Amino acid sequence: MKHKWAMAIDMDRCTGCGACVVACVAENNTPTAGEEEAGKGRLMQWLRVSRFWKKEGEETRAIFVPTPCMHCEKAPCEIVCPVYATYHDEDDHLNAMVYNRCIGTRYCANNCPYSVRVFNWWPAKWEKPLDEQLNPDLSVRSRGVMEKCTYCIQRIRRGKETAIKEGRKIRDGEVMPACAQTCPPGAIIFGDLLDPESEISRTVKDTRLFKLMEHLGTEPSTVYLKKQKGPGR
Amino acid sequence: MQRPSPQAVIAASLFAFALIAASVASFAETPQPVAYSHRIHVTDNKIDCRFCHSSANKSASARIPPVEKCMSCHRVIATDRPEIKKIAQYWREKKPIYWNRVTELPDYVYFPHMRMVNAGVPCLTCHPGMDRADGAVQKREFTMGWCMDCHKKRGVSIDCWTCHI
Repeated sequence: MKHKWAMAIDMDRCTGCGACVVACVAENNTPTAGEEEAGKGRLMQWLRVSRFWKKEGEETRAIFVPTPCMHCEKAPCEIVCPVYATYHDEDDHLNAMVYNRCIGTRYCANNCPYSVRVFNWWPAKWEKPLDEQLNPDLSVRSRGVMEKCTYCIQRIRRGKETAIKEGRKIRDGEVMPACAQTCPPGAIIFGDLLDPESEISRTVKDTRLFKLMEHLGTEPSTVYLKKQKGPGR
Repeated sequence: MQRPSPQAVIAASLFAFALIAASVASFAETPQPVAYSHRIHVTDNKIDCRFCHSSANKSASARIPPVEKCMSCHRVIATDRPEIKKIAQYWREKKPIYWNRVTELPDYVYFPHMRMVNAGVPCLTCHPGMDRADGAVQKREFTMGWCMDCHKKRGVSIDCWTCHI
């Protein structure tokens, strides 16, 4: 069963509330780095919400850009890994990361133009009763490995398993990453591009669509929607 | 090339012996709070594995049966045996039996039982001799190469993300 999972983030709907970040941390057993470590650039989040200020006449407005892994078709991170810990998943068209293979050279993070790969600097402590809330479907990573958004691969796997068991194809909206599920205004749309009927296939035909750093030719699977104002639009 | 000294050879062989001894010891039976016998249940009485390990086809874990499941039969069967009396004691005190874990995979391996059972892999493929064991014993070392061999033989995906997520 082949898929091409993709995500569209509607920036006209995003309010910058950060619910997606919280959901991602809870789903993926991500340790929290804390304020001090984050200040040193060691933020442990697979998904961050970047904020930009924009002046419109007298008014200054904030623009929020939720940035998960882009899952590039031509990923700059994959070609530089010396141990093939990151590779392209042929079945799902995802940018895969195998934690127990990673030796922590951080070369991939240096080559990623979006800076969405994070390095696990410290052994995470899950004190009782916090260890009870860990997701059992996912490994709890130790220090010294590179981490990244996987579009909640455990949920994709579970969806595929259920579909195979029931002898059918995955329905649109059946598989959803934690961030898309929790987004209050529904700004994150996720689905299979190979399914022509899916919501994501309709969304990518939107005229508001653009990609981050499109000129680099990484062909990201995560795309953005934003109404453009001004000349030329 | 210089020949290794006799001391080094002895040390190496001792080390190898210790390794073998350790691997044999790891296949020894783990002591359990109740002397449960797989042989009596599976081989003698032909009870299916999934009768007790009831979520093997539904979830990642095959599950250890609760005391209730033991008592559903043993309220009437062999109630005079000392081991059954132990179980009845747990049942009366409303306490779970703390079985000692025999098989455990490291955290970086995501092994769902359901995926294997639903694909029609018999339980004894990975747990050989369990049907004839008095108690629980792990006879197979779950190494990655062994998993890969089986996956290749059956033509299943050997993508890293199949097991390591």
